[in-house]
Amino acid sequence: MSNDDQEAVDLLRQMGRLVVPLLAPEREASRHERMASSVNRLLQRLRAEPPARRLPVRALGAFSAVAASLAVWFGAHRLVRAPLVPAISDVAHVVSVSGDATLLRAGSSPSAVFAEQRVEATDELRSTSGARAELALAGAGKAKVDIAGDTRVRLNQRLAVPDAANEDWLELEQGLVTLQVAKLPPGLGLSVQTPDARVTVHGTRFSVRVSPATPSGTVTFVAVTEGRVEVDSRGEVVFLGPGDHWSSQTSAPVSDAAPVLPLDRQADTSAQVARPIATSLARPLTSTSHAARVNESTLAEENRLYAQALARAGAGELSPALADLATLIVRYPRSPLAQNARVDRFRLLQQSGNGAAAAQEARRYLSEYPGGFARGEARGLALLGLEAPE
Amino acid sequence: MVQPLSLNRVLRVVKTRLPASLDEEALLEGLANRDPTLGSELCQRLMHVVDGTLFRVLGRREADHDDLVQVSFEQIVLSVYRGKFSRECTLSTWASAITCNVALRAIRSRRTERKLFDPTQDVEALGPRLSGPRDPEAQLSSRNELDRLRYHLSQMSEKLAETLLLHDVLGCELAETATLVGASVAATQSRLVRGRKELTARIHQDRQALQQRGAAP
Repeated sequence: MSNDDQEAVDLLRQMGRLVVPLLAPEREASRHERMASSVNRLLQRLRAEPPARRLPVRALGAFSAVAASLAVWFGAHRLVRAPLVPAISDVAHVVSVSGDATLLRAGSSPSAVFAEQRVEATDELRSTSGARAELALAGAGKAKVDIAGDTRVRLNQRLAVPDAANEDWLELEQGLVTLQVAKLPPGLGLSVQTPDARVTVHGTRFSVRVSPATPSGTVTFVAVTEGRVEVDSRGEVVFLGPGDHWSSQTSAPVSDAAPVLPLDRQADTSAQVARPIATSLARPLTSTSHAARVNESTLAEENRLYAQALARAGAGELSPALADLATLIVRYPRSPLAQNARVDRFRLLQQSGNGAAAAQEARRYLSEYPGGFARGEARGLALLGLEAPE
Repeated sequence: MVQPLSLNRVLRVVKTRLPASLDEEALLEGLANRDPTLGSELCQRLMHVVDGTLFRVLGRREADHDDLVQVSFEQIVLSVYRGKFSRECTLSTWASAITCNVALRAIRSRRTERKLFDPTQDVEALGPRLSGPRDPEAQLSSRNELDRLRYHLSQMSEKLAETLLLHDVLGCELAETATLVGASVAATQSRLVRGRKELTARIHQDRQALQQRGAAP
């Protein structure tokens, strides 16, 4: 170890020496009871599954021989016949889940999502507010999908057909998913379909959010952290790079706010050409060309502020994100995004642990939007804020 | 002659734990056979490991702490049931490695879901600070540095971060770390070296950013 690294090692060791504070005995007992019953429930669920097979060494030898024979047979079979289309049913498995999430499967009653659960094509996952689930996809380079609270997402997988790409896709109806995808080998694809756009992956980390909006019904936001994604909305394509973000509302007035590439030019247009277009969406207000556009339409500026808030929040810049949302609400109180901004503010404050401020924000939301789409969530928060402190 | 205590030693008050009623072998066998009465036994044996690892990696108990404890226990049970635990280390070490992964994932998820390490703090408070060892704010500064350290770990590749946490934070031996991360000892040593270098570089970048901010009018 070099002297240069000593400070890092010291800090890491300091982390390891942190003294863990004891819990109150009552709380510890209650937690023990909850965890123990959770483990017992899991073991009961596992009992309902067929047992995990453990093959003895001799059986493994026989198994290998049979597998080798089958491989030879299949190899020979492929030489004389076109491969059959495999029916792929398991498209992902649940890595972890916290809070309440429900799995809806055709022909079955809704069930709670649990770790290691297999997710099949066309299954739908719904998470409640504050819940979170992480999935690992079976295809698409074993991409990781982080499902935030209040999200409804369906998993699909196109069947692999000879000489065609095998593509996974998620249908995001509402909420937020964050994907981490390794560079995909040729023939594999991954995309997120929203009511407003299709976001296709090119080896990256990015988030897609669908929020209710009037009058169009929904608005889709995309923020890219790493790599590159392709957004296809209404037949037009734009590429986004790290730090770029896009919203389906911004793209609506194509010539003004978000110029996108026509589909027929996509093939012969490089990412280097497309990138500056996408990046201009993320530029600060001080940019002269962007400011000129803002004068023409406040919608562009509203979208820019909202997309900026989303990107900043996604990057962990909590205070600037809250400030952006506040600016949007104050400057454009009649904006179709104002309600979303108000909701995002109380969610952000709640997630940040500032319960009192979140409750206050939720009460403001209820007074401004008594029939708003997040009224149930806001009521819960507002009531929480009225509870006596511990 | 009485030797002075080294400065990095600390005295801790620890709670005594009740002895487990089953030995580890019996517990593992029971889990593999999906005995639905072993929850309490497992929690009694591993709660301090899981809770302590989460606390050290995340820095504090936040609102979702119990959820993470639950996720960790589920992962531990599933790994034993599915035969992923090769018994080359103790169950406690295995549990701490699994919990470490859960904590790392939580840090990453929080970042993407707009949560910071201590959301009650202002974001600016998470920025680097300069303070000498005799600074009255040294303790706060130390906490701040650890928060930055967690931030950097969340930015690094999973393999490097996991290796650093297991070896340098949780104190696993190199061979043990190699077993836990499923790599050779040589590869683990290489990850350790690369991880430390990257972490050092990130810390230095932090300092430079601070100095530039201080120099700005």
